Amino acid sequence: VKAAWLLGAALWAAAPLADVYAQQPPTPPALTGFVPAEVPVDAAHLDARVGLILTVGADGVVTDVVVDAPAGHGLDEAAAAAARRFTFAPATQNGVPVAARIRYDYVFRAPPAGRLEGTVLDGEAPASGVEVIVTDGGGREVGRRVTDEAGGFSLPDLPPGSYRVRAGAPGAPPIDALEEVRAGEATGVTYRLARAAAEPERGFGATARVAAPEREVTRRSIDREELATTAGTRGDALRTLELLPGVARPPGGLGVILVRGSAPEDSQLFVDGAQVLRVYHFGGLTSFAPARLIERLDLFPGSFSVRYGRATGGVIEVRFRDPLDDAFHAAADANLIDAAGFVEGPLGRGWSLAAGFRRSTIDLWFASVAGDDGAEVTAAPVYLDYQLLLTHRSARDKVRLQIYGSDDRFGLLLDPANGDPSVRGDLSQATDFHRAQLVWKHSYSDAAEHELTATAGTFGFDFGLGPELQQDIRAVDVFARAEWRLRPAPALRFTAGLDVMLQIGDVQYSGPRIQQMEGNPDLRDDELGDLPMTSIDERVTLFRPALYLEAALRPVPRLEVTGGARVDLYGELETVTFDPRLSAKLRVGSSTTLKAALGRFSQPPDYGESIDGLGNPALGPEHALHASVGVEQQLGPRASVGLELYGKSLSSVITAGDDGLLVNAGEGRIVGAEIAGRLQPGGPLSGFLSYSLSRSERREPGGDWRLFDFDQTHVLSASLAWKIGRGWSAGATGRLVSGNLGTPVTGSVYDANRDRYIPMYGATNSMREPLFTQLDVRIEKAWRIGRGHIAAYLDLQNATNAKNEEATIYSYDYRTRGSVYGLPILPAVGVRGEL
Amino acid sequence: VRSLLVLFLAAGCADDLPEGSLLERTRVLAVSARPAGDATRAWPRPGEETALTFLLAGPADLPPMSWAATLCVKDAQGCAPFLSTQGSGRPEVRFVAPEADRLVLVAQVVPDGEPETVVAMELGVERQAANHHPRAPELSLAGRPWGEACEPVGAAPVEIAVATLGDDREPFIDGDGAAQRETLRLSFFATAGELEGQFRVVEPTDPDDKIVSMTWTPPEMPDGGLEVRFTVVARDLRGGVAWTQRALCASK
Repeated sequence: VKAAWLLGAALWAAAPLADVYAQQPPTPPALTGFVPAEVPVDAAHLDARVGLILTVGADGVVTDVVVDAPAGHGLDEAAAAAARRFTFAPATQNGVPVAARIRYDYVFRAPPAGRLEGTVLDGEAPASGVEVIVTDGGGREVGRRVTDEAGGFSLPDLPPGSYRVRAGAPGAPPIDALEEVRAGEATGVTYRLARAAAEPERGFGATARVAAPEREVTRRSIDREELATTAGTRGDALRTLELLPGVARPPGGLGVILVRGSAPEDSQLFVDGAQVLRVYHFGGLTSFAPARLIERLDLFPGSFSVRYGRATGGVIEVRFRDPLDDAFHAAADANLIDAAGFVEGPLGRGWSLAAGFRRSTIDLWFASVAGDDGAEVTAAPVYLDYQLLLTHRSARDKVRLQIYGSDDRFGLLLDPANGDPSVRGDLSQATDFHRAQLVWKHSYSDAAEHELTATAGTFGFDFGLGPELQQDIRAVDVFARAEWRLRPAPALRFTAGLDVMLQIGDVQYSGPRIQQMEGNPDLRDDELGDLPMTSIDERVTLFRPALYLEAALRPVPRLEVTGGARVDLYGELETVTFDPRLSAKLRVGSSTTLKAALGRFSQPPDYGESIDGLGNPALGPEHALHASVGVEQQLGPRASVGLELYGKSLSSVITAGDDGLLVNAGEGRIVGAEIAGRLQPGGPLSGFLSYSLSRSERREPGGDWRLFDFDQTHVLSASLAWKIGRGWSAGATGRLVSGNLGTPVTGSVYDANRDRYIPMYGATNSMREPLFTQLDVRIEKAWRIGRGHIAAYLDLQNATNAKNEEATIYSYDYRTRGSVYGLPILPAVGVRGEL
Repeated sequence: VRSLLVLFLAAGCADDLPEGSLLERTRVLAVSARPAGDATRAWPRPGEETALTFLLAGPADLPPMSWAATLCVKDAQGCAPFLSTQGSGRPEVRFVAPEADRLVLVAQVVPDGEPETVVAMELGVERQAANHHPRAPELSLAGRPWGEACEPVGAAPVEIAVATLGDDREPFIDGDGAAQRETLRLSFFATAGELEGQFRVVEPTDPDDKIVSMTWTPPEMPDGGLEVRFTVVARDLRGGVAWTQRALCASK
């Protein structure tokens, strides 16, 4: 009863309210069209809130705006002007549109500031006390710093935009550079005072750097971007080398580097001063050094410094960068060829760490598409590489431990049903190297420093081809380099160094004696079993110490002359070589440099060529004389062009003697011209254009001059990268290259002993395949997520699907000719993220 | 070695070329030395009368042909000719083996209306150890012995098998004085259709009763069927050679 009473009372009490509640409350206007305010330049970096009272008509149009809570700096007017152009879904009362007045807070958020930080170097030494002035796009000074003992400076809170950086020191031309600072990113730069051009590794200006000689840009978002985003390279820095002047196209995807008409084995790759024997993973797809970790990639196509030896061709030096120490960063990248991960960050107390790992993904699908045309894949190509960098910096010292390595494996089961029946059974290849490298750089003073590098590791090379050829090399290698640099006077600099290489390897080999491959088409048609066979199982020690000394003198401010010499001992040959080198650079006007160089270079026989039983232990080093002249013209802060003419004379070239035994009796001559144009990063467009014209010839004893196997008369490369905006970027790389050389077949003889036809050749290398053309395209879209970003990209190699003839092949009796073609269009789709 | 280079390059693609196993023209497929004293020996003895017999085959019956041949004694300086001869019809060269270690035959065979073939062959002279021809290959077809009669088959691929014996691979002492055993190389030819390949190899280390097989796929068949002739040649790669010829009558 009590409950019923309470219910009745409640219904009675609620009766009047029901009428009231039948009148529904108005719905407020809803913003349907936001208009961004035009932020005054001076207020772009401000966080602010402007309170507005908006009157919105029944038609949704803003009829009145009143600033209720001003913020100043021109933001009130900007907010009111924008709000007047807002559109709304009008307020409603019982479903009927009505006018309404609302409060609206217009919030201005400054984009996250960027940071500009950098180092000024004088040679390799930090340049302390240098004044650095930074102005914005309007010419207003936004910061002025004096570099610290480590040559460093930092401007931590810069609004995104372009800035001009000027720095100068007595006795050196001022630095004047344009830099781009991006929201939320640190832009790292390294400037080198121009007088540091006397540094030994720069030597003669034949240097073709990825970065300009006087200004090594290590900007995290530019230099790496350039190396990693060049179209057609799949983000591989070393593949970018192939586009530089003086570098020829490796035929048919061979993973070799061809520099100025030299053989692949005549050029060397160094990582921070230590030689690396193998540059590329399987098939030349990818190099072992990820672009993300590379600070600088230098190509010295000729006339290089006495710092480098044991090579008569060119030198490539990869310098790993120091891990970032501002915060932890991470990145990942995956595509159809491989997948990679990377982390770096500070460890405290001056230490920072970077670690990277990459593994192929090609093996996941290769076997299923490789087919069985004469070969069955027993082990799809698998490769991996890894890097661990640990750095400690102090005012005068930098110590870095680098551990890196690479491992490749590949296997085929060859079916002798077709082609050469002696090529059968398992074809397998496995290569690996693993090494630890310690780099210690110490500055005694502004005028004296040393750099010590010690590298130790192992490498292995296993190769098997059926029952005829088996090779297994396991070796320990040690590289040590100590280099002292002294500048007793501003115009004089000395560099002295000790460069030691030691390899101790256990070599097991069963197969044909080493033959001359180059210029010897007959060899390609010999069955393995027909060649003189040998078998060795022994320990091979290669001890090759060298001393070098170089002096750079600037007798007048515009002229710099560098002279030096290198003495190499080849322990296994019991031979010493002496290689003097001289170069000069003359600045004409403010932006033109003339240069010339002359030098002698020596190189020991390739691995195995001098092993008794396999090659010829009486072999000696090969020699080359390099001479070149050139001019460089700066066309503004970002653009430059250069022309260079060069000649090389090769002597004691290893070739086959009358009895097939290798001897130092060949000759070579190479002449060429290179034109290089370059637009440095810093704007929406960057790129380079290079053209090389060359002729490389060889001559065997008693023979005529003939073209070298890898001679390429014309090499034209152009690459352009375009930052479109809104996260989009695109690039294209085009190449026009003279076709590969071949030797024509003029007839054949049936070999009744083996049931095969033996070709009869015309003049060696007198046939050239048609012009090679290729256009590669890269498109990337990046999205910012928090303080990181994620990007998807498409790297399209051979975008026009050009059918390039890589080699000539023949029918079984050599009466019918055909071609092997290069890779068709090859898309690499991938995703990478960075934090 | 060339095949290896091509293999690496073939990641792209290559033009199709005529297969060596398909007999589209008259070809020399082997040359066999038959000493008069013992035709099972591949090397004649000095002073022994010997015939060099040429195996030729083509898509049809052999056409008329002419030929010329020269035999020479091979030494470190080159090759000194001791016999030159020529003729017409199927080539056959008869000679008396000189006192020498190695002989070289160079011959030119010109079938009427077809391209000529220049043939070269190196031949040992038996001064100490002998070298014998391998046995003529014993063929089976789809698991059944394959006789001289034209064997009927349908339009499906069939497997040709060759049974080898250990005696086909003789032991010998090589030039360095090392004991070796011969490798047996088998070559397959057909006048139509597609063989899986041209070669099979029996290694010195393979078991004595090694059986090798080759799949043949018939061509598009005419209504009346097709006779396809096969030749299988066995070589010991030291001058010993033997062959077997058979036929298939293929129909839809």
